[in-house]
Amino acid sequence: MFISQPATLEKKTQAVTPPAALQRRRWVVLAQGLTTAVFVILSLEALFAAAGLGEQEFLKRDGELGFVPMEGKHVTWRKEGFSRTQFNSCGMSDREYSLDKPAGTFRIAVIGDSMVESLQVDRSQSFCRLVEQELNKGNPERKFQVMNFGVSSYNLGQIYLRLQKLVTKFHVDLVLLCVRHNSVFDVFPRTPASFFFARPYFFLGNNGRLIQDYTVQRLWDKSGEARRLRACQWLREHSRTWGVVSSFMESAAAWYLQLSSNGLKWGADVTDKQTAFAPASKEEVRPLSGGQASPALANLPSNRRIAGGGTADTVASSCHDCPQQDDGLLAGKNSTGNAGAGEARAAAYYWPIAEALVCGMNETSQAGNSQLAILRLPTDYKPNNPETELLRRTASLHHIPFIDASGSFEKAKALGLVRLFYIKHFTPAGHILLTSQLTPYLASLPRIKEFCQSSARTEAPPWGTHRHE
Amino acid sequence: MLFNSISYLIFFPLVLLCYWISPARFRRPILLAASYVFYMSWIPAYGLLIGELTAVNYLLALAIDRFGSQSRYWLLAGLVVNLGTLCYFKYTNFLLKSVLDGLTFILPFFHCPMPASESFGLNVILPLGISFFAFEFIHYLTDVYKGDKPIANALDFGLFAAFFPSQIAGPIKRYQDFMHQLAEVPVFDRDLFHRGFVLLLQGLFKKVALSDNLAPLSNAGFAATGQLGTSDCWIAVAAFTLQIYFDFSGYTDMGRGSAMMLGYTLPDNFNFPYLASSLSDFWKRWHISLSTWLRDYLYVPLGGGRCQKSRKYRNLLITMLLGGLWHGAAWHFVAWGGFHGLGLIANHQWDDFVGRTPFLQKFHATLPAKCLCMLATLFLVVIGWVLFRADTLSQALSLIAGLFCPAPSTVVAPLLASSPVLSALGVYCLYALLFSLRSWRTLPWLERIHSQPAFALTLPSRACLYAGVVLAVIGFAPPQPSPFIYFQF
Repeated sequence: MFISQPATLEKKTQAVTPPAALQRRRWVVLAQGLTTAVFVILSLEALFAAAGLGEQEFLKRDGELGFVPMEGKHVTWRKEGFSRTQFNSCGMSDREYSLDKPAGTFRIAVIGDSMVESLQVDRSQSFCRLVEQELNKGNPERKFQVMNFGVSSYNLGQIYLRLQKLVTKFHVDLVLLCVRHNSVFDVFPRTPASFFFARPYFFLGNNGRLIQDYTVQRLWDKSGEARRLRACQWLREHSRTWGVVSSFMESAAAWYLQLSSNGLKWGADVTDKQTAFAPASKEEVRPLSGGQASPALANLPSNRRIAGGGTADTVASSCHDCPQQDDGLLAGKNSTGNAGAGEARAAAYYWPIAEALVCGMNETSQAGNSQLAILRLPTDYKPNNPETELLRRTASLHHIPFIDASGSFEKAKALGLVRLFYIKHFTPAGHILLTSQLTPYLASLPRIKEFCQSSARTEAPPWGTHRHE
Repeated sequence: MLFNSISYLIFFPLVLLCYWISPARFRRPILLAASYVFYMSWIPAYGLLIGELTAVNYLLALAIDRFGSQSRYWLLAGLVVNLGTLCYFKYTNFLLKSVLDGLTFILPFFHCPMPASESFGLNVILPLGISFFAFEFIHYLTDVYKGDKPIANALDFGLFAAFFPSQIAGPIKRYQDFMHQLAEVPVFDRDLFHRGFVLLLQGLFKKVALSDNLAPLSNAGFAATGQLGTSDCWIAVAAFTLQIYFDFSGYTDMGRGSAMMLGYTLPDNFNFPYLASSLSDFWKRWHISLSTWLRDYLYVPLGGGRCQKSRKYRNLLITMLLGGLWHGAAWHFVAWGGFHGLGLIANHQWDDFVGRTPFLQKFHATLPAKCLCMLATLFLVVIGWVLFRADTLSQALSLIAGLFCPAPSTVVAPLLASSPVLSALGVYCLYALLFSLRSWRTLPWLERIHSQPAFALTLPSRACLYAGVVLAVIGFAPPQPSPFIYFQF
């Protein structure tokens, strides 16, 4: 073996070398050590790049949005499903797009969280790409671009800000807001704050308008974890070896936590969220131009009237299939032990903020000469039907096209023929099923119809017809 | 305690430190205590079982040595104790289940009521490494019976029995070699320590980066037999072939490396087994300590090869069948042993035939023939692993059929695409080519590479390299580590 030789060589050399030569030899040893270190690091980087290791971190801190994807970052995703992808120069999990819209092109911006981002499947298998292929099928003169603006762990507030900051730059024609189940719970702060929860939160001012709250973000930015992240930002963006070390440290911390507390604690319960929902100090808040809740909701949170009439209680009770025993996001986290009813109540209680955010997105879209549509994403958990109902009412009240894709997924799940979800996110089959729902619906929207009619059409659209609900 | 666990990462440096800083006379007791801590970290009560077995065998060996005329009975008692313990823990449920299966088949013919299946079977957990303990004790008693001197010092015998680097999955030690090392005062040998550390790292890489990443591929394949396409079957089988090698040889490397760092050397268990040119060559390279044990304490006592051909083949078949059964209490292990036994018989007959045919003799000496032999042997070994890994014989046959029936692959092939194992294999092949192959065969071009100054590394450089290997191990470590395959034996 190679390791047995140097020890004897070293001894022999040391025995005969004079001090000056010894000094020189020390430098040589140091130089050799440094060269080896560089060689090892470069070799590891190459090896990890080939194997797709240490590429799981892709989010960086952002003063405005809390966190954003790193531009141009290579990501290999193995936590759920598998994909190897590269974020584009704008931090989108998509190919490069020009800011100027090419002539004769219809742009659809899909905004949402990790369900849209679709890191669990190959990019070519994501519903954004499949819908684009379907819309472009059959007529080469018609050009649709379906742009993926999804970012993992984004709440409605961050989606709203991303729409304002990034999406509008691309002059999109249609904005498709994808809302997953239980998303209302992410609009208010969670305790304790961590990287993902240190983000802007929103509450309603006395005039019913949205106010952006930076408190959690500012507090977290002063923490040791934030300082550590800032210090190694370059490594996080560029080094796979760092990614490996970082991942190992996370596992070790989790192992230690598990050992010390005999079980990891995830998130917080509804009670925590309610107490965490506190107005921020003056310097931490910023009123937003858009986003106003319905006038009937002005005195929230004491007034629990909701959009479209009725109260939180009536929505919860009118929903016959409302979950009684929650096994979803809040499972086991409610100290009252009545999580199902609590979930429905909480959804209604906090809905005005979500509604104001949706309204804000609608206003922003209209200001950019585009239209907002809402897609209710299906879930593998027990669906939060009260929330869906609230979303539907909000969409109806503000004349926003709305499609709920849950129904077909429930049917397909009942048949149990294919696996539609890995854990939380779609499998390739899930993306195909969603595409089959979404494409005819999008094609039936007046804007798209208009675009299709304006472009030279030589044959019938391949997606068939879809009837509005 | 697993060699690739965080517990061992804490345990071993502590033992190493205590061992080397304490005076020489305390080192063996420290090692013995550490060995029992290591063993009892799983189920403490089984430490007592091993302690009792050690005491009984120690006394039996003394009795064999002392009462020469009755030594046969003492040996018999020893065999009964060791094999009885092994059978009780390992084979009772297997035998009872086989009886139940037999009754289920026979009783309906006689219109008798079926016995309740719950009444069959014992609720016992197999003590770790019991097969290895039993084989070492049997070897010890037999050699003492044959005239070797028993170990007089109970502490030394306890250490021979419980020495933690070889405790759970071997290699099966020979007490003469081990006692020879115990007789000397342990002196810190920097070179041995260093080689041990490298071996430890090498074993860790084999286990964590290779075996654990191959496990999901083979597990997925063997769990979905019947739904597999041709490529799926081949990938699953190849994955298991590599997994079992890297798993077991990785464990052995870690054990041998740990022992070296403590100043002891253990026998090697593997010598490039998949480069074997025949099945008999394979068994000289695979699990060497077991195959030599089977040869010395089963095959030779049965009559060995110096007898009639039919008897020689019978001995070979019995040895391999029992060797298969030693690996696990299930019929597919027996089938695996039988497959290798028949293969060895065919191998011997072929060798005889080649010896009688001058043309074949000449052809056998050529490189293409050697390559052909290696491929044929590898193919047979791979088929054998299917029998070994499958849960039932029907599953094994279904998978073997799948290897040759064209069908689309959708189960294992996509998993391979998402696994980092190919990169890890590439790195290992490069390493093996540059370093391990050198110990196997002297190649001029390899010697030239090794004579380059770049290979004469100083301590800082080596530290960097080892840190790199550790990082690679961490990087390739899958989220779910899999247990050592040979732990169940």
